[in-house]
Amino acid sequence: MPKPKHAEPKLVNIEINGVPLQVPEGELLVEAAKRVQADIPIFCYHKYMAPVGMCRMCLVEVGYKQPDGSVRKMPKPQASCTLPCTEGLVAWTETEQIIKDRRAVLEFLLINHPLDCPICDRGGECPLQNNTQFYGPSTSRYIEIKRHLPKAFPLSKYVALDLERCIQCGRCVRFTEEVSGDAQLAFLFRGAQTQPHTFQLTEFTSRFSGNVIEICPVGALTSRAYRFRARPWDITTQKTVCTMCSNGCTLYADSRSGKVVRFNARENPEVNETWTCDRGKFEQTYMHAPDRILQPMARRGKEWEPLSWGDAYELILQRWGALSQQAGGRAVAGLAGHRLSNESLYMLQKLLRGAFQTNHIDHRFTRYQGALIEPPVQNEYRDLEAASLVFVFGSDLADEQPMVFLRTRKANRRYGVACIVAYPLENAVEEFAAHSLRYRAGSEDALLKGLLYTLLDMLPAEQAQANLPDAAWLRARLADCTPAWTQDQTGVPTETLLAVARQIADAPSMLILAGEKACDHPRAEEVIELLHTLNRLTGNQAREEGGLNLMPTGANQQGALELGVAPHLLPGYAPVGDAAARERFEQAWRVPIPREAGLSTDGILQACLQGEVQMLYVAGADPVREHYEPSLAERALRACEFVIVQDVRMTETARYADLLLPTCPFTEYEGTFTSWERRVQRFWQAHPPQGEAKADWQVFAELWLRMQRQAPPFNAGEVMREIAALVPAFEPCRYDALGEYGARLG
Amino acid sequence: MNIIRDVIKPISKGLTITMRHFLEPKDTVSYPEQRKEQFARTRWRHVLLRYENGLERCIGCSLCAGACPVRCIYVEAAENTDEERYSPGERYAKRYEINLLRCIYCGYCQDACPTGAIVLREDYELADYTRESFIATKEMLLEPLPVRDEVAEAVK
Repeated sequence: MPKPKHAEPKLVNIEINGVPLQVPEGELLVEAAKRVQADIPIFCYHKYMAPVGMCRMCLVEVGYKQPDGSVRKMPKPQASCTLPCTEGLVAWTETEQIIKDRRAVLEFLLINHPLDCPICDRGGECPLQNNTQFYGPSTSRYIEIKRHLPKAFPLSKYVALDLERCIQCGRCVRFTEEVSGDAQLAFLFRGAQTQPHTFQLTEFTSRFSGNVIEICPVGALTSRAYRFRARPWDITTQKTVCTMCSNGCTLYADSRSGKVVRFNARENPEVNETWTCDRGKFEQTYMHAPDRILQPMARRGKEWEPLSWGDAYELILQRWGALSQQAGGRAVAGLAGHRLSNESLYMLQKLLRGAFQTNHIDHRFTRYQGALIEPPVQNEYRDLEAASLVFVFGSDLADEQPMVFLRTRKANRRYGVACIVAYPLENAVEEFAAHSLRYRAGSEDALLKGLLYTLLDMLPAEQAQANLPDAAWLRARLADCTPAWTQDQTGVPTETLLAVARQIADAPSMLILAGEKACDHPRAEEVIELLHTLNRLTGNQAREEGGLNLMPTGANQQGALELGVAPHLLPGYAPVGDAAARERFEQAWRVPIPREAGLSTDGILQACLQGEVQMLYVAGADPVREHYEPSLAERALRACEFVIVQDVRMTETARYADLLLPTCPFTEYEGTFTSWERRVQRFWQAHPPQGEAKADWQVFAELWLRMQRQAPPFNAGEVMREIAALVPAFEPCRYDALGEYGARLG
Repeated sequence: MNIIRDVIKPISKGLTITMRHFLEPKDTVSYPEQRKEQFARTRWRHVLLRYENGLERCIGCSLCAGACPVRCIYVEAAENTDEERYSPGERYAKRYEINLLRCIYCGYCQDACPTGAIVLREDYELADYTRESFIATKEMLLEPLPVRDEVAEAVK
């Protein structure tokens, strides 16, 4: 059964250490104890995994209230991690018996655990160390020789295994089985030889291997990248948000001497729970790349000449002065990247629209650059568990959207949400999907047409008519798209297509996750229109837990749309052509805004080639790498007279720049990002900026000041205040109101 | 006024004390030609010790840095390999620096050290001319390699 989105849990009365309290029925005792700050030590229990009761660390004494009011105590202590709360439960966590039991459990664990804490990377933040300090014996009675096993065995590219330290809690084994789904780790051998390892001692290959490092309660699984880099007391920890994809995982950035040494997951029950993917955890190192741009530079022939920030701004103003005389705003265009903060994106479009008088601004580098008028995503993480069917279309979900993949898998495993995947290649969703449609690459439109044809046949005519008023027209349009035709076009067998259509037709709600193959299709406009039709025909357009989501890929790609970094949209999806909306912004900015919609990315690049756009402002983007047709981007950059590239490091695009401006990566300034589910989350400055780098929004604000003579915002919070005043959806995102877990827009 | 009681007696009493001290062994030494022996537990400049086989005792665990109340110790650890071994076990200190200007010579680092690698010894002549020269690096702190017996014999 899918998990209902707005269900009120049934409460039961329990008592812990004499404190009566009400908790949802079935909540585990170890969780309920946290409500009264009764500290129960744990090793094998993990909040986001099924309990197993292996380590016996969480023993408590338990009794039940009898009808006559007396309490009947269980004869032996119980593991609180496997005990669901029911009416009348009474627990004691600090009795003499429990204190003795905990000491004994720890003494047993320490028999085989080496005392090499001083060189262990977990030392100082180790649950075994902490629990021994608080609950364990102060001295050891063990004088025999300890067991010796391999140290620092490289389990995978990122993870090292120290078998001596393992206490066999099974967290890592359960993680790969329950959460990541690759089931790579298992317990080998028995008794004192038990060890977690891959079958056949092969390499541990998983997209989520980094999580086992964090959940290991000892230093048995440690990070190879972080090995001996720092101790917990050497580092400063700051809250941040991952920038490797649009999933918006909350992280902690741990830095030492101005350098980030590792990223750890920060719990956010609405987003990543406590998980991260390896890309976010280990591959996010660009802020310390050797090719960081550290000061503004102008091109002089083949050389780069260092400039001061003031001279750099002056150069831009001179160019604009000359341009504004001849061509005006039509000759200026801007391209924004996906790692800019919301504040930076807002300031960029304000600068281009207000100061440079142009609407030529975009952030999209896929083939789909259509004129959206509403958010392309309808759902949030929780909906994955509430929907009855998840349809993954054209996306290698585990790779493109790792956290969405984990949630989808959890929804399937725990709540029985059915899943259908359509992707040309083998992919991780197939492991639990009810059906897999492996179509011929490029035939996405044919597959959707065939599916719609079959659905029109299957759905009751009046329902189809009610959901889709132009159903008859659609029927006529898809007259030839029979299952046989579809099989011929896509290679998907007729029976599979019929079974899938049957499942979709019967599902009370369906959530569509459309990935890169849809948005980067040569006929992307048509594919996306067909997806919208499918969404409407099945009635999911109007459902809360169902809907269509065109998944963004960049960290703040969604924010760029929300904040009007699009040729036809002002912030908050207000059309540029709408005079009333324009007037609102004109009044706030005290400057007129051009009334025609501008050019999209492709249009801008073509205009560069034809010499119409003479000044291109590329902020945090790398069109040569990101654009679907790199040669077009390259030729356009070459043709454009004056290219400003504002980036963290020397990208491919930066080589074509006439002026280079250094900016901060996300660890060096503060701001907010918008994730795929339109959740705005804050990140903070983890370490000071390198060189002369400045935050993007600050560069735009300083240019705005020089061009408009208006007081600039002094910090990112002020920019957000300005956004919130103009765009009602951003009202809950003011910094003083935006909580730990962020807020969803709209 | 009684000359004897009020003048001669006190003066001779005072001079007796002077004479007694005059005859005692002298405490003052003519530094730097002469140096006084330090107490056994004197806490001056740190020394990083070695084992008898020449391996460093320090394992780069940073516990000294954690215990330091003024945070004057910086430790950067690295991994020993069989080709390049500095200390027994997996870990050694690649960089070990103490800011002697900031250090208050409290000896907490010595207490915290799990291998007895860092000790505060009697080298008290720490004056220097630049601030930078007060950053004691690992090379400066480390005990010199013990001269092997046969080498010592040969030198004799």
